[in-house]
Amino acid sequence: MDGVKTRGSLFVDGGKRLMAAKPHLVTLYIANLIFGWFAAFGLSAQVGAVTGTSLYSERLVRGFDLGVFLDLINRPEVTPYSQVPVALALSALFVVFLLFLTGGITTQYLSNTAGIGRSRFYAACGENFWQLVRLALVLIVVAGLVGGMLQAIRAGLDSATDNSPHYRAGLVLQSAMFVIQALAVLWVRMWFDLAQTQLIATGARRIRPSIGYGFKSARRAFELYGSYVLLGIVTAIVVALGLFVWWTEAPASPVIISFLILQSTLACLLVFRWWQRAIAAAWYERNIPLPVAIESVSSAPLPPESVVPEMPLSQ
Amino acid sequence: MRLGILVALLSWSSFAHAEHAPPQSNVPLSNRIVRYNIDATYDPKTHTLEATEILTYKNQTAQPLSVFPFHLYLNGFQPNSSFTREAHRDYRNEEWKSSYLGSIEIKKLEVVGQGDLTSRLQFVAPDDHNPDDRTVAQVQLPRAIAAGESVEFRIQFHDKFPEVVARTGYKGTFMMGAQWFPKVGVWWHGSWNCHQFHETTEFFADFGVFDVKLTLPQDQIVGATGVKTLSVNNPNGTTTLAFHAEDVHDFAWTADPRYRVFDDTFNGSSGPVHIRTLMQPENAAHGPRYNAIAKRTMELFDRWYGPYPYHELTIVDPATLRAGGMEYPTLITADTAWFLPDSLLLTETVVVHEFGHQYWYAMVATNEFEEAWLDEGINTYTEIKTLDTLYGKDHSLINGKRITWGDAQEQHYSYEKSPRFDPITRYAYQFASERSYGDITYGKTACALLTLESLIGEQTMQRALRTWFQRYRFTHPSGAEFLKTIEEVSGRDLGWYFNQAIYGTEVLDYEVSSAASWPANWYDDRKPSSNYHSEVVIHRKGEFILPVEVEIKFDDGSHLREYWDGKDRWTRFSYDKKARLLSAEVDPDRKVWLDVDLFNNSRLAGFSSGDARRKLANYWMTFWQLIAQAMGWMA
Repeated sequence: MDGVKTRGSLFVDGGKRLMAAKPHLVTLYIANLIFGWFAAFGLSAQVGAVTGTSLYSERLVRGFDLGVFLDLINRPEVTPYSQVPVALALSALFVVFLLFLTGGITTQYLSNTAGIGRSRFYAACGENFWQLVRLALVLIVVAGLVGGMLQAIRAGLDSATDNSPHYRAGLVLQSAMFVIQALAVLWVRMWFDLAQTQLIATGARRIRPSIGYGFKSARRAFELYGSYVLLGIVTAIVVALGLFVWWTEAPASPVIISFLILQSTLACLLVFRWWQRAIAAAWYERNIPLPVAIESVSSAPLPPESVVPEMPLSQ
Repeated sequence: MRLGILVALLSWSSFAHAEHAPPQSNVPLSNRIVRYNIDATYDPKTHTLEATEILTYKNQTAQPLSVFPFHLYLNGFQPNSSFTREAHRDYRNEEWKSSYLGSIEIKKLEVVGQGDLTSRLQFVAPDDHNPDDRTVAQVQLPRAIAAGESVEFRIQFHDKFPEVVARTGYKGTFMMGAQWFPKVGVWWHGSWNCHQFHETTEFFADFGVFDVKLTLPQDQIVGATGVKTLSVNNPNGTTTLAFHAEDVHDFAWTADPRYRVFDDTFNGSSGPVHIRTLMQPENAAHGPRYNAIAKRTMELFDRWYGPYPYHELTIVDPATLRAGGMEYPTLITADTAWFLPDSLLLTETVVVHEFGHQYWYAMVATNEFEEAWLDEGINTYTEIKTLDTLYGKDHSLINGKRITWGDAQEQHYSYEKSPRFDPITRYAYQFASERSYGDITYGKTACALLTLESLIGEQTMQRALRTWFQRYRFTHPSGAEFLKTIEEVSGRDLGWYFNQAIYGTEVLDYEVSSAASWPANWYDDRKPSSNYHSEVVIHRKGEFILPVEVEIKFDDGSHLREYWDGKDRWTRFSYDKKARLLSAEVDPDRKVWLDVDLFNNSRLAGFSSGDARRKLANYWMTFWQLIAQAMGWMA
């Protein structure tokens, strides 16, 4: 699998593709915000009915009195748990929307920095949606199996070290297992990112060849994996930094600054995740054996109603 | 006796090292009904203990005694014991492990002058008649012990400690030896008081003198009730330690080779107290934190209630939370975690709470089976007073930059969850559930005492507790005596309050049901009026009647306080002023902690503030955005 193109670093390459897909990412972020707003709507109304006329609620505004908060959610008319199904459904809707956009954004990524036009974008969204849904279901199963297996090992180690006289043994092993778990799940994610990229690039109808391709590729995509890990670390740092700034700098009231800091952090999370995907697209393009395949996907204009032709890769 | 032990042991071995054991007091502090001499050998590999116990019981009752009951608590750690059944009832997901099995077996029970009575021992279950419960055994003596006479029991027993389920047992190399020896019941109010071991109950025993010898491997670092009087290294690689304790009603010990020791001294009004803190190595950085809060607490208790008369306080940082947060005479177990920041005062809270027990459980020593509130409840109240004094009322549990939580608030939250099930005075093992026991015994009692404080004043309340402690320490008083003491010190008849708050399940809930202003000449649109008529209606929603203050605020900055006796269901306050009503608030100083709903205690007139709603909605929205993104990560 020799790369056909050897442009700069994957990071930079991925970053450029990410920038080219900026409007779509903004759309995704806005969708995340809107679904979040709807998820908060019910609880907000419940809380407002109790706190709106009470002086006691000022203790939530000036600072955050945990006792007052607990008193609040202990009241029968304030039921955060009853809001969870709705919020989960809205989160699931966001995932569906994200899956829908994935086809278009990845097609945009595969076209490098060239714009692909609205009709081409939405055509790619629609054409790949159901394959991506199926792929996501497989990913959930695989990630669940891998995560579950590692969790079982972790629980076993926990039990084994429970009565250990070496007091650091448990902590060290748990920490090590956590890192291994995170790295394994990240690798699975990369595998399926490659599978999705290949699926979209080739316009394949069947997902099994793409899963196979992704698996084979991920086994030797060391540079790509390194980029994933690095971006994962950067994401963790940015989130920690965001929370730190929020914790230390955001005033208790008014809420706007707190809102902006938290939303910036969430936006960063989204950006870094899609940067990973952009890097996967760049890697795929560099390592694709048939240049014609990528050309046909990225540059050949297609009528909006057409289906991307299936183009099997010889590997 | 202590001198006798020293002489005997000094001649025993050339390796013996006698340690300084200051005399506790010239005169006994308690009636010293019991004297325990226990010689025990602990094997940390098998978690078993072999021991001989000589119990001398002095019959200080006015009648002959022929039946003697004994607590055998370690038998509670068996699948069909009342303790385990009750725990399973409340915690169905808690699995049973074979390592949880614990037992205590009396191999031989001999009564001096009356022979071997082992075969006469029989298990009894006075509380629930559970035939599988073996936590109480009694023996009928052939010859009764006359009033004023003493009897000596010579007991050989074998312990098998469980992996810690609750309070006692092992975890890794850590060992907590609590409720580990046959302990005689208490003759109280004309009969034996010797309850079974229950999920929610703690302990009740007679005061006396303990001399305990513990033999265990030399690598073990040991802490125990009382003062260490001797340490002997034996040729077989074991150490024998001797401990002496006077005027205590229980003896607990701990051992772990991993302990890091932090010593300190508190100079109280009855002399120096050696504080010895035994830390798990991973939490060692918190050793000074334990000692600092212990000293500050001891100082406040010394000043508020009276001196701590013992010379030793051992603080144990256990290897498992299940052994944490427990009190024994002169020894407490606490809880912490290496990652707890200073602003989370959980470490401090546990030390304050467990040290407080030294006064209420260890010295006043009320009956924890029947009147748990007198220990846990009063102790929670004094914990709140201590933490509030040291850290501030609203910051005494969490003192963070963005988030705060007061201890009283926490107890109020605990109480408001289940206020109606049980009265405070319910026997500890008869509560509806473990949750109700905790919420009422700790939370409601603390809230009731805080509310009582608002009625009689903080200083009076403090004097009442001081009197209670000074007058009744070492005497096993009852709840009625506690309430009588408060009435006596305050000079007020408080029966009406105690009937509701202590003996009843009435719920206290006041609300401002309406607060509004309107122009005095509302009927005339042509002439705008500068006079307003304002009305506030206060509603007593619950059955609990308590006089309350109401603060009324107007938009010209004026405010006034009203008083309502709360006897009727509702009352109305009306005003005609050149100002509009701004707000009305029941109990504006937040002194009535028994009020189960603090949100409806106030009402803004004419407008609604959305600040709290926006703030919480922002957090909730962020949380779900994050969840959505996390789910999207898997797509």
